[in-house]
Amino acid sequence: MTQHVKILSQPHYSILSFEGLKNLDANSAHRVKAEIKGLLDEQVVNAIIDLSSIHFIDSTGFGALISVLKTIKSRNGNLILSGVSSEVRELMDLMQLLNVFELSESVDDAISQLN
Amino acid sequence: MLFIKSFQADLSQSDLLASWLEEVAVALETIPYHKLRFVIHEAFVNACKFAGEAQSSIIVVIRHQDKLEIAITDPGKGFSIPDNLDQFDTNSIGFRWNLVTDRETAVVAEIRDPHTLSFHLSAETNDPSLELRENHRGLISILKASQQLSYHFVPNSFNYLQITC
Repeated sequence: MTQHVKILSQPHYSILSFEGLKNLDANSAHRVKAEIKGLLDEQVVNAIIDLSSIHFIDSTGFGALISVLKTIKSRNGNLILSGVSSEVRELMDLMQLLNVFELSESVDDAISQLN
Repeated sequence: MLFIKSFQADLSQSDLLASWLEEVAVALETIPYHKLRFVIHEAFVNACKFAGEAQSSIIVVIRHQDKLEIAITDPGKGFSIPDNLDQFDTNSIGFRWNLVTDRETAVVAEIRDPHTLSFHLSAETNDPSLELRENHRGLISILKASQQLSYHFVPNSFNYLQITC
């Protein structure tokens, strides 16, 4: 089965990104959640999820992101969502999630925020 | 304007649904595509959960007059609404609708007529017996993105979710 989530691990943070995936929805979110869970070993405290390739997220997808957030928060770490499109941002607003997640324009901005 | 399309009751049809909704949103000019897609996608996923047989289909109807009315049929068997919600087996509802607990948001269900349940979001309710303690994430999402949401049970036929945006 194709792996959709890639991880780039640095000493103080890890960057998660998606390959070959445009929608984080009921069709893909459970698989993606399991992939992320497998990639986020206990040493990962701070994480950036690059959503620049994602065009659509549904409630199941948001649920998967919330699950990652909970994992990171339980390690007293920070999770930043970067590259969120205006459409996804509006959906986050509808779901009242803008105050739940920390957002950044780009991965570089997210790294600066973490530093 | 009226738009009707049938889809196989399978999550793999989500992309086809999205493509069709892109055309509908352009024609409607009243709702952003991603919002229309989000609301109908959530209802479609909900309906797919009910679909027992591989050949079952879901019909999406979008009508725009002064408001945007959306109906999504549910190929499940449905069930009768009792006279009051006290008689509902909430465990059964939780099982059938795959409800999940949401500690921050309450969904209140009201019996509008013998075949219709209407839903709205409420953090508090005057009558605790009307409150469904377990909520459905998709249902909550639709409620947050729409004005009205109701579920219609048609005996010996199909059921449908009706959404007003």
